[in-house]
Amino acid sequence: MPELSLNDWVAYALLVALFLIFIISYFIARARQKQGKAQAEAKTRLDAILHRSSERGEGIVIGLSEGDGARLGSLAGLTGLQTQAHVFRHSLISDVPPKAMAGEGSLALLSQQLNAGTYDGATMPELFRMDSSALAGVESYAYLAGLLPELSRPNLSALVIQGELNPELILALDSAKRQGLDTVVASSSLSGQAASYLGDPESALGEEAFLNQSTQPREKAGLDATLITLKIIRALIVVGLTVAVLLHFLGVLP
Amino acid sequence: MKKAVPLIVAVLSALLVMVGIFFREDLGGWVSVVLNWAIVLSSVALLVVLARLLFMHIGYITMGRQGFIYSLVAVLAFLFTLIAGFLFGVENPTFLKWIAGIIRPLETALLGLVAIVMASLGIKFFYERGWNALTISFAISAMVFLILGLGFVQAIDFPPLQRVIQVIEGLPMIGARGLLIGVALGAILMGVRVLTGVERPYDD
Repeated sequence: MPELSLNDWVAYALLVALFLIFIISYFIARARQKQGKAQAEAKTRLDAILHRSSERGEGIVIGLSEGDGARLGSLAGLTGLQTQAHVFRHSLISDVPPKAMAGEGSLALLSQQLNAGTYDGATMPELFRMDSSALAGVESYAYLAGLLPELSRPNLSALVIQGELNPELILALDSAKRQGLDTVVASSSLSGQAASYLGDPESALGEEAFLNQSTQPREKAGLDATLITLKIIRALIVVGLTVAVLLHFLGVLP
Repeated sequence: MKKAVPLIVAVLSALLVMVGIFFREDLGGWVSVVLNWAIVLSSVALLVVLARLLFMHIGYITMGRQGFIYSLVAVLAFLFTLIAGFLFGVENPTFLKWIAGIIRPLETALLGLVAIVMASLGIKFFYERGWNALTISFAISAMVFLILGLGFVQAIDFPPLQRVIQVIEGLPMIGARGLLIGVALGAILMGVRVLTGVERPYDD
């Protein structure tokens, strides 16, 4: 076991606090769900897009992580997969089925597996198509080269991008806007967030990039618990930083 | 059972890797084994997906789908690169020169396009939002950092000015750190959700 400094102890304490708060919030959220006390679902942009695409019979293109960020185990990539599952669950019998574009082999395979499971779970496995998920390209520009032609398909309503994305995604965003598509962007990289904010002021910033949507009770409770945990931990960090600054000026901390 | 096995495998692998970080000396060997499995699986996954992509494009060509010419170009380029790579080896300087000669100009062109699109979106930002506190501060900061980026101001030998420039250049880092703390919290919570089985991206 390596020797730990004060900073390490503070980080571990924060981690343990985060874990405990999450677990407690999760069980409270599940209990509230079972008692039927859960809050009525707020309508989000993604929900509005899904309703509109269902009404008009239009498709949605989903962009998952690309480039180095899509590497195996990328948490942002996994978040994108959950959003993809949410979109597919709401578009099972859509005239134009959604299509997911991944930037890495294992992510593309997981995406296909998830889609197969979604159709299977809805007892309509015959509607699953292998090309519902595809590898767009393994590098940033190759990914763009794979994604951009998908945006020019007819009868599309939106581009939903979630994952670790480079600033080059602005080209896809711009192309989607020019074709009148709605956009939802959540990039976990700072440069991606800065670029997407310029193209879409409602794009996700900071920790929002890791939030997804789900109507599944377990995942919904997980999301509620995440939001509560984030609020508490953010408050703890703000108080901690303020105290640290005060102690620094008083000469207690170096 | 069908749902429990992937969950158990995922949670145990995640816990092993996590514990391995703390007890590197005792568990380092096991962690390397698990990580090697992950790398092998990832490579196989890439091969499977590439084959799938190739067959998808061949399907588009045989069906004569609209825009099949692009699929034809993709398949021919793929086969050309694959065969050349096998024949000459991927470290062959001529092969690398050929590949770089195709990829670099294309990437540079796209990079130029990104710069133009960013500039046009920057202008659109003011057009759509009008003049308010956000747009004015955006304009001022963009101008200040453009001027600083030119490097002329730094060349002025006046110590108080250098101090001011140093403070200004540190400002983006402050904002970035705020966002980074948020990103780190989001990533940790996503990890906790996967670790506790609340979130199962591998299963539906």
